Amino acid sequence: MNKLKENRIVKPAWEAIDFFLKGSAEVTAAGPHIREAMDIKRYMIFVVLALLPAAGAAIYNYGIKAFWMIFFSYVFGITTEWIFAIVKKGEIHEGIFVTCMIYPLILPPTIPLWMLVVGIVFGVFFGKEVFGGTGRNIFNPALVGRLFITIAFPFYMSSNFVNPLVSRGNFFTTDFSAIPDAITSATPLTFLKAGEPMVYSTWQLLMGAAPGSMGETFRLGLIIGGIFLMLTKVSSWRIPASYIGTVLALSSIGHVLMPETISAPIYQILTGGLLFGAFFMATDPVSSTYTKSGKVIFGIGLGLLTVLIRSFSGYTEGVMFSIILMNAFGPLIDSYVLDRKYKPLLEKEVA
Amino acid sequence: MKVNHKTFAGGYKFDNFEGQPSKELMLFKPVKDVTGPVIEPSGEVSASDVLNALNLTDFSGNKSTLVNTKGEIKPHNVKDIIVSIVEVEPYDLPIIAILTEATKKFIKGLQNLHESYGNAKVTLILDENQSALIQRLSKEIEKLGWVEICTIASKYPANFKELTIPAILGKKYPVGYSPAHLGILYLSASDVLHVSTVVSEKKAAEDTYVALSGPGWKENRVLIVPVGTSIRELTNKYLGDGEIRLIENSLLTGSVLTEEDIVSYDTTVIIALPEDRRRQTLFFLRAGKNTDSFSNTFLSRLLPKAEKTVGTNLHGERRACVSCTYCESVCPAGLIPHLLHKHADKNIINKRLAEYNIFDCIECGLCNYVCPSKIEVLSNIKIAKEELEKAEISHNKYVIPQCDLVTETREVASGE
Repeated sequence: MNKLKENRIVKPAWEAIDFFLKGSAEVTAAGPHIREAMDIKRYMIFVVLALLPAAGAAIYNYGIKAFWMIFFSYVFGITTEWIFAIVKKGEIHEGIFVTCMIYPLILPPTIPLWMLVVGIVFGVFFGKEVFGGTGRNIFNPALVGRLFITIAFPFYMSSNFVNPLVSRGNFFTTDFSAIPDAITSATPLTFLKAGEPMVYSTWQLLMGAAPGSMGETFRLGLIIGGIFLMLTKVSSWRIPASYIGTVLALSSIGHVLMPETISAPIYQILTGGLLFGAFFMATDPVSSTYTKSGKVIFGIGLGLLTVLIRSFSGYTEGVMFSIILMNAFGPLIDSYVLDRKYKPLLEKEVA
Repeated sequence: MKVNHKTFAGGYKFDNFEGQPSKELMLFKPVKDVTGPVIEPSGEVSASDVLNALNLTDFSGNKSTLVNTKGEIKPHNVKDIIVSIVEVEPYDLPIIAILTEATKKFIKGLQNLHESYGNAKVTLILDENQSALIQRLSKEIEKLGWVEICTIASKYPANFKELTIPAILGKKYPVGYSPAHLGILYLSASDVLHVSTVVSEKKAAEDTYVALSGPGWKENRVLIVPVGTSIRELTNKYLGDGEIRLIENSLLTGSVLTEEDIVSYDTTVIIALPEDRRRQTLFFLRAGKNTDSFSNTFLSRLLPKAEKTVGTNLHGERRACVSCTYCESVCPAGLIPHLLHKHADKNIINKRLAEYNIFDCIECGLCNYVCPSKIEVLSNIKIAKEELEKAEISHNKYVIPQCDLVTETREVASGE
């Protein structure tokens, strides 16, 4: 048994499961003799908990397919992490639980499972592991995965949505095209893009009655989950507040000036992946900014890019691109804020 | 009486840790005779003699390797006397228990100080949770006329001189230096009582108050212990079973005591902390009714009265920093500890660290306490500071020019 535990392939998985189930036996060094009870496992698990309403709604709306998507995402995401742990002689870290939960929720429910697997493997590999694992990645790995398959398979990712509640009576159906009238290319965002009137009420948008990516439509659950994360101090309020605030402000002004191009603020907030992105992806502490004012600048940048891409580009949705772009700007924003806050010392001595 | 109130950014409030001492005082008689160094009255003894003997007028910093200045402050250079009876540690000496019996003696001690240091302004600092104590003392103190009371926010580390001196006097405090270097005497309640014993009562200051705190003791008591008593005498009588770490004064900054050590004038609390190597199944999923945490992910946040369990367990595996910024939120010095840690960790020791105000770190250890990645933030910062001194990016260049140091000494040490 002990020999098996030390096996190079088994070791990372054994250790991960062992620590996961049993907790730590290590004690503090001198210095502070006590440590508080929060750890990264709890930190990450709370994000997963906050996503459960969205995941539950996805399964409720799209049936067994949604479950398989989440399941396959976990299996292949964790396997990728495991293989890397073997190669690097490292550990499997718990950040993978969040990535594998977020990733299927930002995909359309029609996507073939093999395509989902390609995305999660790519995302975990190129979005995280090559940077050195959780804590060192500059991009959100789930978004890297989605971006990859969006560019590689554009048709599947933009025009193959399913009307919600398709699962009623067809819970175990995985091929939505077999169900009459299930597939639609029109999400609320496309109505807006085409300048057509919105056919869904605000309540329907909040409750997830409109088609869209699997986890982004039950917006009431996202808001509750997002607020839960902020109240438990797992995520910062600064990024969602400045992001949503900027989108509100820009679209309020823009909608008055250019009602044809820029849609009304309420629809900017309640369509597409804005709430999901603002509460669960932009707040990822690793890939976002860490300074306080940096977080506000980050949020403003996200809002600006989202409204610009949605209104003036060929794409209907801009949340994913704006988060990826701002992730890239994150280190620059932080170093700008630090330079403003901490002046070179010579000046300080004179003053 | 008018009470000034000060607050500060950051900090953390420790609620109700298990093993708080009972409020009754008890005399402790050691089995063996104690031959500790005891301050005795000889001739015309004054408060300044007692404070000298307690090393409170020394220029050399108490724990610092930075400062080698020798000598003691002259009484006429003392501009401020600060008496701090703030209770914000997880375990404190319960001041109310002591002052209920010894209010008169405490006031007498303040008068002795005033006789020695006529130029100095005397300020008494309490934290805002000590309202009963504030009421009890303010009546007596109002009569004196020359003592001010100042309250400070009830959160750790409000008991740090590095924090309260800038908050109250508006002076920059060079971390690692003694307060005497700034013309300030920084005293505890016990110090004032020792002054009173020697100067007013003309007796030797033989005894000191020591609180036995933490779940490792069989009984949690406040003892009146002769100075110089061996720790072994206390552990023989009161220590519980199991593997236990003995810590002097503070769970965050205290050093480990062995049974060979003795009770000194600086000993106020002896904490017995169980070495907690128990693995707890699915710890990260537990509700945590009795768990202390900066985050709000435990039920205990909704039940502040619930007793918090305490032990040395790390409660998690060590991970890379995820920039959760908990350390920044609690830092009372306004630093970004994880940024300093990342520099130190990658061995980037340069002037930029000094610019990030690393020399302002007061080493309270809160960043270390709250880190969910279980990183040794504080020791990394300490190492970085030492490396900076070696690289001649010294605090002397950046901190000291902003401080107003007193250099005139009372006695020049001869032959050194």
